[in-house]
Amino acid sequence: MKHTRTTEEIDSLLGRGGIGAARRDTILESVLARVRAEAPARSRWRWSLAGLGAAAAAAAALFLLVPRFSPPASSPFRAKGTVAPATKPSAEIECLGATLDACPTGSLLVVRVAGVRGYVSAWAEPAGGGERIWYFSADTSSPLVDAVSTSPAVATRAVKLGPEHAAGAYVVEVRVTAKPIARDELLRLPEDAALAKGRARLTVTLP
Amino acid sequence: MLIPDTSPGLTRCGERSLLMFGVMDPARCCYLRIPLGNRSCARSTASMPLLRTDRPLLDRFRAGAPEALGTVYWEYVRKVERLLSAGFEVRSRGTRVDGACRQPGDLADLVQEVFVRAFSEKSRRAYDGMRDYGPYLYAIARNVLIDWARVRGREIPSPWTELDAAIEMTPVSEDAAPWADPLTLRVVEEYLGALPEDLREVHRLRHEQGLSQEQAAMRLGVGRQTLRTLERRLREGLAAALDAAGIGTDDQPELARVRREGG
Repeated sequence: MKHTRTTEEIDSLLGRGGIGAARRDTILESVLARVRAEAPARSRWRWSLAGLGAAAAAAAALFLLVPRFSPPASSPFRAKGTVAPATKPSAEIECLGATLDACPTGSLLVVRVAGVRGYVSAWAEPAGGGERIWYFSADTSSPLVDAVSTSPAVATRAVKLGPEHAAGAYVVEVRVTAKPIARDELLRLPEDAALAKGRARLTVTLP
Repeated sequence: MLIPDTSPGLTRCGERSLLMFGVMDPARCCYLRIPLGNRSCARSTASMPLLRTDRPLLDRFRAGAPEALGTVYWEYVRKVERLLSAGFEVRSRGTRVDGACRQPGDLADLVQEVFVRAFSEKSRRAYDGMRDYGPYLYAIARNVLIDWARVRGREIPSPWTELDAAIEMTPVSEDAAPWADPLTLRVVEEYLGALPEDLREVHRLRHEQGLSQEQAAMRLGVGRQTLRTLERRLREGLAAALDAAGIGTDDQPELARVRREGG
């Protein structure tokens, strides 16, 4: 299988090791997004499946996670005598600095996973048809996120919406699996084979 | 073990020199060629006491102002990255915690986790501002690395409390991207050595000095969009050089391994 070097890999080479300049930029943006999310709860927008009506679901990006295992009750590094609160498996995506209804190219799309540990795959299908855009898969990089033992039990990865995204609507698919999975296999993966899965509607706009 | 990798040797290293650090155990990772850039060999790598000496910055940091968080982030991110990559050792106990240098995907996640924890409101307020911020941040980084090692099933043969309290830590290995085999590195060095002036400056500021896009653009006197264009040219040039040298990613087993493992 022919691989394409990712921006991160090229960046790492340019930096002679390490995570690379572009990834450091992305990490800061993700961290700041988390800090913002930690601030007043009323300023957050967070969706959960329960309680969302069909109309809202049609307009909003929504990730549905279907856990197939229970997170451990506590991390081995928690202080004795304390019990970790069970983290309800959930996932969100966020277009940093904008909304999923109008997410300009060049923006960062953050995949946020909670309450599950596994390898993230993600891709976007143009709603009107067209070439599929892959974000994460075993063919390039399928990040292992551990949203069980981290504290808070949330893990994020971000992708930049590059010029391969024409303006328009997309359906973003996310899978969390026990091992990295290649693209072809992902497309054939049965619904219940993923530890968690999600689908979101994303509208990309021109900057 | 420090291995001189340059013809001048350790006693005559100059700005363009590279240092290679080796480790005793070949089964462990790694090596890192460290470009000295405009730093002298004798210069201390200690951080500036950023927050301790700048009260307004400390106040903004505690308040969670993005610009203050960004300032702190760019001051420390490469040092945190180095610690997480290299791992550390409690020499007095002979305890060693491996770094994530062979898992670059994990390394990025770990760096993010360190700053998420460090920049949480609780942690920001817990920092007293009287001591240097670096050691405070590195303690968080060590804890994150220990958690990561635990998750991966590596036993840390030392009670958590003792390890957490230990202060005698030392890096035990250095990082190298798993796809940076010697042939690839040679192509990279040749490519960097032949860069035109504008791209060389971009490389120096962004990849050697680790500046943010904003800082680098300001230094160069260009807008961020121009900087992004220059960065893209820099990457595309290296990709083309690797292709021209016939180095495909499929020729790099370490990269394939990391991808299989989800890095």
